[in-house]
Amino acid sequence: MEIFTGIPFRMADQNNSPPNKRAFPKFYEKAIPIALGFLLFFIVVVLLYTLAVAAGVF
Amino acid sequence: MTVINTLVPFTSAIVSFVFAFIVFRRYARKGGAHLLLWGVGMIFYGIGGFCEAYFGAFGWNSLIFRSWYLFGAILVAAWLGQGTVYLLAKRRIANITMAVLLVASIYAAFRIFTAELDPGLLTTSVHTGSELSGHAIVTSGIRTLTPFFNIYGVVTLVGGAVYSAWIFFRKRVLLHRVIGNILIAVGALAPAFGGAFSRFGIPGALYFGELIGAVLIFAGFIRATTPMKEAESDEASQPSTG
Repeated sequence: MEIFTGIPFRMADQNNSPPNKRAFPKFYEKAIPIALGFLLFFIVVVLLYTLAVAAGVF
Repeated sequence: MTVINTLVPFTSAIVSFVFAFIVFRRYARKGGAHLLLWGVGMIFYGIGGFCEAYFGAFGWNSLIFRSWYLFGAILVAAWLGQGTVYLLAKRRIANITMAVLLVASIYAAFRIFTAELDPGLLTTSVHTGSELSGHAIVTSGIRTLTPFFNIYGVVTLVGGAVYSAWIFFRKRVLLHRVIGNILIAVGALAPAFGGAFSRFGIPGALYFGELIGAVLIFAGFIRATTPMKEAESDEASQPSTG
């Protein structure tokens, strides 16, 4: 390939192949961000609850 | 005495002690301050569960109540969280926070074991989980320590697990660690929700919350330290989903 096109083999291979970004299986790609979002929300809830108990609200 | 207020916390204690043993064994092989602190934290978790089971079976006595309040209500989350700090933060920051936590823990232990208790509030008549509180501590200034430890514990343990999961997810590497950290985060939140539901009148919610928490943290640790060979070999060959 290098002989015929003047483009080094590796470079030509990179240019022609589709982007191969690593990815988790589809289920995890969808579920993980949702789970992390819920966890962040619940961290805030627990922190507020702890402060409320400490303040004698409950 | 019922299954809920004796067997459930006792099972939590057994799970915690077994988990602590596995963590200590891993620490003996590989080292790492985070493993040592997680092991200590799970021992505290187990002591808390054992004290609750004792309370369910026989009622409070001074030693069991003080031990439960110190280890189960104050120290456990903070010490587990400190393990995560050693894993994620710079060594110098981890050492400083460890020193502060150690001094604060010794101070808390001294205050709790010298505190005056109201025997009338060490109730033995109802066992729902909601009566587990520090109301029996008469000496002022002790119960105000609790939120500081617990907020530090939630931020470091749960926040640290969520942060770790996000870092691995963003890089799309080590799926088992993403899942493991999510399980640890959910498990660490479970006792807090159990305690809240119990306080709002759901019997036994705290005990189940603690048991679910111990099991999920244990499962998360095992998941995070055990690579998923099939799934991870798929990861490298999978094209981007977007």
